[in-house]
Amino acid sequence: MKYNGALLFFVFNLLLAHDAFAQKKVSISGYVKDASTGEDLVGANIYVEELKTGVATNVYGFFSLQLLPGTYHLQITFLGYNTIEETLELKVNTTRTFQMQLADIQTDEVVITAERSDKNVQSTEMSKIEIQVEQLREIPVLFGETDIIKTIQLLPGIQSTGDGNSGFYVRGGGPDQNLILLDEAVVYNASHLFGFFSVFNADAIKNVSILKGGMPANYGGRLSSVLNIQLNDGNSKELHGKGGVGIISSRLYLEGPLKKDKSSFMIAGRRTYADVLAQPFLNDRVRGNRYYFYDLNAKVNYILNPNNRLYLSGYFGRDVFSFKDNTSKSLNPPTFNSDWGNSTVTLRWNHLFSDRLFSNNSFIYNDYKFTFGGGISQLNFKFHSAIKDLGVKSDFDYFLSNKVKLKFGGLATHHTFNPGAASVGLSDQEIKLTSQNRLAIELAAYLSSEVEVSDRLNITMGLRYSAFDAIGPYKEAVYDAITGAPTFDTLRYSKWQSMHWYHAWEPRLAFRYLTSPNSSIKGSLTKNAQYLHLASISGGTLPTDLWLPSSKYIKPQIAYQAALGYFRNLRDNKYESSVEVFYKPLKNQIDFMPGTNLFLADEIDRNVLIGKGLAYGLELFIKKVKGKLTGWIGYTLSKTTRTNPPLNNGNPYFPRYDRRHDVSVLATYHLNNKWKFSAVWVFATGIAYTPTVGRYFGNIGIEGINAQNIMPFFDVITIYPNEYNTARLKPYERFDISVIYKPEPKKEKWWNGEWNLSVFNAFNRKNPYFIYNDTDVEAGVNERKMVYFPILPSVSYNFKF
Amino acid sequence: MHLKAIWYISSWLVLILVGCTAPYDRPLPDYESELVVEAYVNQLNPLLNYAIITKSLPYYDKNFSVTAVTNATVTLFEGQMTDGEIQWKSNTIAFEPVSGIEGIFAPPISHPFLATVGHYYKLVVQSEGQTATSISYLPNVVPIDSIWVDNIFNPKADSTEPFLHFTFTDPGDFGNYYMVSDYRSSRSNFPFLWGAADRIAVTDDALFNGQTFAYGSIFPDDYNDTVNMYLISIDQQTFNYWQSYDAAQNNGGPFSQPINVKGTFDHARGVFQAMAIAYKKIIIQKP
Repeated sequence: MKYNGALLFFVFNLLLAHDAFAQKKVSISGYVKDASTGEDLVGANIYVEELKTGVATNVYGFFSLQLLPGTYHLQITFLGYNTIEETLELKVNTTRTFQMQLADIQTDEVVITAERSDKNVQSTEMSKIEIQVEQLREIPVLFGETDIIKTIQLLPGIQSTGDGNSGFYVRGGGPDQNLILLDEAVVYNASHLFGFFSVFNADAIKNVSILKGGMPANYGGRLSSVLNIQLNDGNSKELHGKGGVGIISSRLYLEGPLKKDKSSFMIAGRRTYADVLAQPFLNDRVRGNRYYFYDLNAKVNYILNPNNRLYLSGYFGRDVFSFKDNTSKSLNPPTFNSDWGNSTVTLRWNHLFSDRLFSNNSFIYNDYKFTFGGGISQLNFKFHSAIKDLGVKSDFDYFLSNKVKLKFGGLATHHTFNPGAASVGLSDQEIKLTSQNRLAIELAAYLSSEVEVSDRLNITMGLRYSAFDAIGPYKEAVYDAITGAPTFDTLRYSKWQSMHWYHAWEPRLAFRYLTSPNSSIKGSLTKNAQYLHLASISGGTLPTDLWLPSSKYIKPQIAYQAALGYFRNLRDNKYESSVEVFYKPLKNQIDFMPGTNLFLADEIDRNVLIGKGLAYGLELFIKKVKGKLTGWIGYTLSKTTRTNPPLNNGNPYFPRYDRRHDVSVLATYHLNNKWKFSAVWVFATGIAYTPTVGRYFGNIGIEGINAQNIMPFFDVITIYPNEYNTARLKPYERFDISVIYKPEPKKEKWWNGEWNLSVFNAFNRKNPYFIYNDTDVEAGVNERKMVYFPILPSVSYNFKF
Repeated sequence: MHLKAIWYISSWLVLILVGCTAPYDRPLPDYESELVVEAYVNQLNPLLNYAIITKSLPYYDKNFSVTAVTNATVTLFEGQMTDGEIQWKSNTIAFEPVSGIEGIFAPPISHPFLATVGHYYKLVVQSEGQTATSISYLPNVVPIDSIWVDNIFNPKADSTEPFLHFTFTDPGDFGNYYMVSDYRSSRSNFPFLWGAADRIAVTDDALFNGQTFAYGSIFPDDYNDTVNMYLISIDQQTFNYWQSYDAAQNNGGPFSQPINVKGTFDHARGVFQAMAIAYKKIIIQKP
């Protein structure tokens, strides 16, 4: 029996579950909400003083505790809210909704962490960081745009490849190995403006968390991380709004009740407007050219009754770029139009089967589309590619006892991959090229339990089974088994016919052992499978990148991760600190030979190079969570390699995003109610690249009448070493500052505003994003670097009403 | 309006700061020069069978002139496939330096040579103790079916503009590779060296196998131009060379992997290609 572990897992749970049946217990369950908005609070703590135990609300704001009948003193705590202390006489199963009031003044005495003050030490979860949205707003920003992904890049173990990239790389994983969820819907491309900004509008967001490892069994489908973003539900008490005006964009957010305390909505929009404002000042040639992006988030929810609640949320965003040369005398002036973006829709139903069994059931649609088209003179072209998912998902939280909590559930997703369709027209001829759509079903089921074995030891065990079926209709080209040459025969698969089936058992184990009341050792062992792959030769993420399913030639990616950490809180939980080490081997990592054509190639799979990877490292994190000065220092020492036999002579090489050292410091100082100051300092080893070593002349020609009067023609061809990514760009360093000024709010005034002045890269360090060669016959060849962001001040005005 | 203008100017002042460049200094990598060969044989024009032998340079070398190799020995072998093996003829052709232009070697003028369709050719270059070899196959000639000019009135320019077209028909079997070039000159039907011709396209027949394919100019041509059009059939390794050659023109930048051109020689960079040339000429005349 290969999976005796599964049996052991169930037996273990049953043995520990005896607590649930030992004596007749009653439960107290319910929700914790913001008293002023009615928003569910995720991760709020309900602590029973007498038992020295407690529980946190789940991601839907629900909690359940099983207690013997009696009188208990409860404490409910949450970020920046006044603690609720309540004495309850519990005789029968009880349902309560706790309404928490925002704390007016944040002083040294007010806990400003989202979790219970010692959660860092007490919880079994490791490698997980929650970001408070309020904290996001205080961090220095680029062009006045609060950016979640740029903020998480400041955390240890999470790296970027430079200023102009919203992709992130977690513990040696590629950019496609991050599961990015927006209200449970997958976001395939999380960036606007080719990676300068993320698609997430901070105004609309309630909760952000990132898991870098120790992934519990309820998450899967990606190898390296889960970035889980939840949208606000909307104020169920009264109509409110907020927004901001920045240098390149403005935002507006509205929320309010549709039916007080029963139903609410929120809607948030954002658009850049440099294109609109610039029009009057552009000359005739480029007038009408524009680039802009916009996004829209919306959500409504309805409480049917205490046991049933419906949510409908969605996101729609697009980047739009158009160019036309108005002064061209050409028959068809040069034109270029492109747009790309994500759409998501999530319909959720929260159902309470009992005070111990909570369920969340979701119907999810998401897509990502990219199109471009245009023409010049006699040439016209169009192209589009897309990926589309339709899925259902059910998750159950079963509060078996205060010592055993179970999670179980499953999902089914239908994927449609459209690798591209294009038409190219030239005068009287039009060529249409269409890659076949590829269809697949992805399935998963999981069971996970968190068990309090003793006062010191907590164990979370989980098992996830995932499966992937590439299905028809599809025509698969047949190649000679020996030579690999095309036979020009095809295998035809009918609708829903299984083509290639893969599956994996993914065990997940995590433990916490308290070494003292304020310190613990945590560890985790996980296996993850990933069935979708990003076909990219950029080493980063671009709007043009294609997602591919596992197929005959592309096996699912597999990662194993072992992590061990020591967590300690200092000075009455004022400081949280941790040291984590991780070791992460990766299988079936895909890459491509340089120059591989990924455009409209029906048989991209056959060009995929399958290799392996390895990442290991050490992460140090110290965070100050109380007081006027808050922030963190993170340091990562890590090494990431890939081995792919046709590349680098079969030897391991460093991927572009491997950085040996990575330091981030974030500090925020709350001087008083009017002034806040923040600073960020980042230092990281330069990214890996392959340097040019030589050059020669190619395609040599001579034009002339005789040898004395000739004109040479040639191209300069660069030579790279056979080794791959052998050099490093100079280290990346950046210092950002911001000042937030909030005029004294007046009680009678319905409008509150604040000014945010940020200086990005205040030391004007010219960090290289990439280098290129400037070739000039007279001056020779000179190496130059491209710098995206030198010193960049910006100002924005944010308001609430 | 005044405020709007100030706002606009100040915000765009910020924007134009974005995206600057600066010199980048770092230690230069070690590199030893290599032999580079660019050689052609064809079945149509004996003057266009030649080899250019040069040496590569360290990338940041200040020398920017062609580093011709003058002391090379260049030998051409001809062979045919028999029972799955190439049988090479015993009589070879020794290329000689072309007088007046260093680094160019060609068959002796006294023994003009033309390649034969269906034959294999092997070029062996020896220089400074190194030997580099490459083999190329000369496929069948695919003729140009027709060539003509469309004159289209452009109201924006208030004039008629000529667009050149030509067609050819691909043989039905897969695996044909083409290079399309033109050379605009009224003095000569062929360039002195192939680099003086414009390489319009290098393609395989995957998209038009067995069909008539039409090429047309994207941009207007010029009246009175004399256009020498070549449809050159090549073998697969030559096609791979030019594919990677064109891809390598985009080297550099954050979103590309560095591409080394896939040379056809075993111990040198560059290409040796046998070319089956189909040729037509047209003079673009005003209607």
